[in-house]
Amino acid sequence: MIELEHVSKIFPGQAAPAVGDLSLDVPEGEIVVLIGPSGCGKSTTLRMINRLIEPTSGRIIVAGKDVNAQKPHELRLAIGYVIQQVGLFPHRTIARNIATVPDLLGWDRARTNKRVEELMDLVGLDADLGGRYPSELSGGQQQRAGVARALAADPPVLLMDEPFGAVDPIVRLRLQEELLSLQRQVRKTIVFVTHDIDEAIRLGDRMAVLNVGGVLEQYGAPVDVLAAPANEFVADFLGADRGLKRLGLIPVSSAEILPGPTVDIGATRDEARATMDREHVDWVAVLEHGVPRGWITAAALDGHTRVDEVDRTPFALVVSPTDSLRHALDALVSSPTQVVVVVDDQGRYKGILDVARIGKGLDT
Amino acid sequence: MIAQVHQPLIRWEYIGDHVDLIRSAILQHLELTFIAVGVGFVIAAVLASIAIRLRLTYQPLNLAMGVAYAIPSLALFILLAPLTGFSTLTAEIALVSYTLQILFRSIVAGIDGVPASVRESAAAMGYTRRQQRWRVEVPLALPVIMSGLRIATVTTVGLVPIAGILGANQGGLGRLIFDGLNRFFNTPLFVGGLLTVLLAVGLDVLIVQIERLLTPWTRRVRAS
Repeated sequence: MIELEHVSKIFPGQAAPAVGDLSLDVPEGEIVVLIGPSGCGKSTTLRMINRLIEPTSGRIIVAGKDVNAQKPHELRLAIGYVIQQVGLFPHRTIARNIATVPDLLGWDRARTNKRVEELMDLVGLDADLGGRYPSELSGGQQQRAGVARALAADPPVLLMDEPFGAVDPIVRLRLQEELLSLQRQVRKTIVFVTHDIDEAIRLGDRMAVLNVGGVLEQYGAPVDVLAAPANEFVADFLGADRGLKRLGLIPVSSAEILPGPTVDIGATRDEARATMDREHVDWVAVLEHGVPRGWITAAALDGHTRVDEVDRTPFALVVSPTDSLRHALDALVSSPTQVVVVVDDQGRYKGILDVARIGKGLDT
Repeated sequence: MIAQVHQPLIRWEYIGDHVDLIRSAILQHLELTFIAVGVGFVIAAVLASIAIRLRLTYQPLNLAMGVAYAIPSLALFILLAPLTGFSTLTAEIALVSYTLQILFRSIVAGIDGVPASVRESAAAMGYTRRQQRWRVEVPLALPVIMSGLRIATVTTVGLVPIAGILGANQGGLGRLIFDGLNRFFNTPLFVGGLLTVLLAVGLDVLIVQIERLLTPWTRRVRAS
C-alpha cells in the first residue's frame, strides 16, 4: 500500500542525512510502527509520505501512485493524519473540525453531518460534544476528535505521529485499545510513529526499528523481532526484559495446559486426598459444575469427611486462553499455589499453568 | 472677542444654537477616523502579508512605520501642508501613517501566534496554502488583529482634532476645540473635548463587541 524506495532526506545545512536510503513496504490493512531513538528520522519519514517534507532522493508510492506526481493538497485529502499535539482548529466546534475534509471535498451538509455523528460514535465521543470548542475538551477527548477528523472521508491510509504521547498512561492504554478495536472495524493502512517500545509491541502488526540517521535495523512482526533481534542495537532498544515482552504477545492457549488436581465439591475427604497424592501436591482445586470455587489444603481436611465442609480459599486471579502468557505469569507469581488457573469464556475450569509451561511457551 | 475670565464651564445656549455645527463636526470626526483606519488597515495588511512571506522585509518595514509614528503629529500636519495643501488629503496622510505600525505589527503577530500544530494539521488535512491562510490562520489571528484595530481607532480619534490646525474645515471636533482656544471661550473647547473622549470610548466598546461576535471560541474554556 505504501512503498518507500531508497528514500533519503538531508536537511539544508546538515551534513548527515536525517533519513538515509530507506526502503520499506507497508502492506495494506496493517499497522506498521516506526520506532527508534530520537534523531532516527521516524517522524521525518512519516511526513515524507504526505509530503509535509519533501525527500531529497528516492520514491514514495501510495496506493500505486508516486506521491510526487500529485498535488500535495490533493494527496493529503486521501491520507489521514494525527499528531501528538492533536492540532484541532481552536475556532471550530468539534463537529466542524471532524467535518474538515468532507467540507473540502464538497460533501453536502446532510451527508457530512451523518458522517460526523457516525465518527463521534466510532471513537467514543458523546454526541453533545459536537457543539463544543476544542478548548472545552479533555486531552483524551481531543485526541479522539483528532482521530475522528483524520478518518472523516474514509482515507485508506492513516499516518499517526506519537498520537498518544501527551496523555497520561491510563488514558493512553485505553486509547491504544480503542485504536486496535477501531482498526478491526476499519482496516486502514496505518503508519504509527512512537518511541515507546511497549506501545509498538501492543499496536504493531509489524515494527520497523530505526537507528540514528534513518537506518532500518530490523523490520518484522514484534513477536519475531523480540525472539530474534537482528543485532545488538535492536536488542538494546528492546530492553533486557524482551523475553517478558514477548510473553505479552503469546496467548495462554498456545502453552501446554495441565489438568491439575481437582475434585468436585461433592467429593469426600478420601477422594480429595487421593487426588493430592496422585498429583504430589498438598492442595486441590474445588469445582462445582466445572466452575472453580477455590482451593483447599490437605491440612484443612482434618476432622472433616466431605470437601464441601471445608472453608475454601478463592483463586485470586484466573486467566482465560486469550490472555497473554505474561498476564498468566503475573497471576502466578502472586499465587501461593505457584500455579495459575485457566478458565474458558464461560468461567469453566480448563486446567493450570506452572512456571515451566509458561517458559516453554517462549519456544513456540 | 474679549476673554471672559469668570465665564462658566458650559453655556448651554451655545449647544442649542450650534446643534448643526456639532453634528457635522461629529460626522466629520467619524469620517476622518474611519477613512484613516480603513486605508491604514488595507496598507498594513498588504505590507504584513509581504512581511509574513518574506521575513527579511519585516524589520525594515517596521522601522519605516516606526519613524512615521515617531514624528509629532502637529509637525507632520505642518510639514505636509505645503505639499498637499490645507486639505482632507493632508489630514488623512498624517492620520493613516499613525495607524500603520500598530496595525502591521498586530496582523503579523496574530498570524505568527497560530500554533505550529494547527498549521501543520491544516496543511495535512489537504488545505491549499490560500485556504490555510484564510480559513485557519486569519480567523485565529483575529483577537490580536482586533486589539490592534482598537488601539489604532482610539489613537486616531484622539489625533483627528489636531488636524484642526489645517483650517476651519478640518479636524472634526477639533474645529470646536480650536474655536474655543482662539476665542478663550470654554464652551466649544469643553464640548469638543468631551465628545472626542465619548467617541473614543464608544468606538472602543463597539469594536470589543464586534470581536466578541467574531471570536466565540475565545470565551469558552473547559469547565473541568
